[in-house]
Amino acid sequence: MDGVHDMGGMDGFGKVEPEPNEPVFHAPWEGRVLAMQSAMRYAGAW
Amino acid sequence: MAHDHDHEHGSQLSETQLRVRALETVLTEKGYIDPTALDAIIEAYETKIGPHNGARVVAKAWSDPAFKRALLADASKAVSALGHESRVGDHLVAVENTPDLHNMVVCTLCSCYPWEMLGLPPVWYKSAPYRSRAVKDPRGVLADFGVKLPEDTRIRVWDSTAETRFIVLPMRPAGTGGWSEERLATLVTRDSMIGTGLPNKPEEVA
Repeated sequence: MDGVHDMGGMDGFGKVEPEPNEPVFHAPWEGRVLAMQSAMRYAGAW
Repeated sequence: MAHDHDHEHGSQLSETQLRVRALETVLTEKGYIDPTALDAIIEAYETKIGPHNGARVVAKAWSDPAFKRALLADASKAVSALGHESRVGDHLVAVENTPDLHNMVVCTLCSCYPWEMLGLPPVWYKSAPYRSRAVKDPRGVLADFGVKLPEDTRIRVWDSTAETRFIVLPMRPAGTGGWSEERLATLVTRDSMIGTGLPNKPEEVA
């Protein structure tokens, strides 16, 4: 599968940078969006 | 004056924060969501859904040969017997590390990841450097994590999809004979179950 989403084998993105003690959410809005997405899915709204 | 000053500071929300707040308000007013239910979902991701679930599975596989066989034969079934619900349509595959073979998991297309075992994927897992290099240069990627494997250890990289997720069963560290499952679980790191790390050594958690 070739396409913009298939990054396997592409060059030039540099090193992987692991983040020690990474939080589950980096900002409160990330959690709100994830939860809204889950809730909408449970509700069958999309 | 003081009021105006406070008001200015109170409105210093970023465009993303404003947009998310507006979306939540609209969805609540339309009756699709309940903000307190969102709080509960967020709390679940922060406390219940995380790599401690995968660590318990790995520790059990290290301790219980029958469970290990069941896990390697059909991981979805084996973990559901422990009470872990897989997301609909997910098929979980456990891949075993040995002295000769090291397994590593990537999603070159996006961010597919065994949420029920490991929680939300870390940012690096979704990043372009990891996704582009994991298959082509796994040893280079491992070096970014400070991991160096023996030269004669083969590396197998598994590319996840929306249907199939992988969890690495790392090798049980030496010097852990007689340890309980609970104690063994403290050695199992998230990255060791993705294959970008190794379990902690007993002396590291003592």
